[in-house]
Parts: sequence; structure tokens; C-alpha cells
Amino acid sequence: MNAYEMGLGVGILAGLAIYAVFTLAVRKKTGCAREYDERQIAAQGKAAKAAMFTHMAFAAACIAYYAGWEPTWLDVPTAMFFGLALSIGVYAVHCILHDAYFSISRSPRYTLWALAAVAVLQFLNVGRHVTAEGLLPDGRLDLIVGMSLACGALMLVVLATALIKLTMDRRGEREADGDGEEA
Amino acid sequence: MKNLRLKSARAAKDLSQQQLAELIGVSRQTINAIEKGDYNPTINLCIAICKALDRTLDELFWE
Repeated sequence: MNAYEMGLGVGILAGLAIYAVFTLAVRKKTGCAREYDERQIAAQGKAAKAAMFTHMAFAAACIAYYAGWEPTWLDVPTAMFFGLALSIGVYAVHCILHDAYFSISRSPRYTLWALAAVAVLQFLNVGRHVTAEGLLPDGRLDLIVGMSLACGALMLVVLATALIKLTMDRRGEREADGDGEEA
Repeated sequence: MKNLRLKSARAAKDLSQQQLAELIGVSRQTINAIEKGDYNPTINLCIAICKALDRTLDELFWE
């Protein structure tokens, strides 16, 4: 086992440990597992459809791009990972906008902090690579840098959407309370 | 179409959307969506709402 494989293994174990701690902390705080009601499940289904078609469109665009221009700055695995991040982002944003991202029992606070932490770590990794080797060493975007860029951007977009939505919801509730009706 | 009967039945019981949602086990946004007419609940959810508000299906959901 070489250093890269060991690092990969440690990274996966660290991710699983963080997920376990996060999940246990949420369950301890809320006392119950995550639940989604029927409207949220239906909205998640529509979001999954949108994500699937987004990924198909991206794959088609990639095929056309590689067939027509034969780019050397971006290899296919990295491009496909960008597509994956894009479709996950479409799913998450659609769910957030339709109030189907956060379950009934889950506090958004822990999720928002986790998203922010992951985004910061990913951009730090990108910064470290860019400082050491530049963005396109040998004229090609490295897979690791590309994945970190995609993950960091995804986390940032989802975090921003969630914060804006939660702020709008709270403002609507305050205005509604003032009018005596619910927003 | 807005469900004003549901809204008035909820108000008659002095329940907020959040309180009614917790009674039934759904999110507040779902109750809001039903009252605004943006979401058509399943029959099971309709029955749960009727039980929580002591009303019949006809009173709350029939047009």
C-alpha cells in the first residue's frame, strides 16, 4: 500500500467518523431520526428528475465538446466529476427552494456549519495545490484539484441557497406574525 | 385554490401552522402549502388533519 492509498483510506475513515459524530450529535439533540413528510418526498422526487436530466444534458455537452474541440486542459474523469457536482447541486437547490432539504426533525444549523466547514477545507486544498504547482500544471487541470474545486463550489452554492431561503422564511414569518396571518 | 376552511378551522382551534404541523407530524411549510392551495394532500394526510381539527373531510376538503 503506497502513501496515496493510505491517505485515501484515512480520508474515507475520517469522513465516515465525522458523519457518525454529526449524525449522533443531531440524533442526541433532536431525539429522533430524520423524517420527511409526503410533500417533501414528492418534491425530492421532482428534484431527482431535474438532477438526472441535468446530468444527461451535461454528459451530452461533454461528448460534443470533446468530439469537436479535443481539449487538453481538462480530462474526461474530471469533467464527469464536474457534471456530478452540478447535478447534485441542482438536486439540493431544488429541494431547498421547495422546503424539502431539511427534515422535520433536523435543525438546519448543524448542516449549515458542516457545509461551511467542507467548503473551507476544499478551497484550502485548492489553494495549497495552486500555490505549489499552479492551477494547470502541465497545461492540464489535476483530478484532485478539480474534485476539490467542484466540491467546494457545490458546498458554497448549497450553503448560500439555504441561508437565503432560511432568511426569507424567517422574514416572511415575522411579517406574517405582524399581520396576524401565517406566511 | 386556497383552502380557507382549513385556515379558519385551525384558527378556531387557536393553533398556529407550526403547532398543527407538529400534531400531525409534517412540516410547517406543508400546512402552509395546503392552505395556500399549492399542494394537494393525500387522503391519509387529509384524515390526519381532520382528526386534529375535529372536523370531517367534507367540511375541510370538499368543494
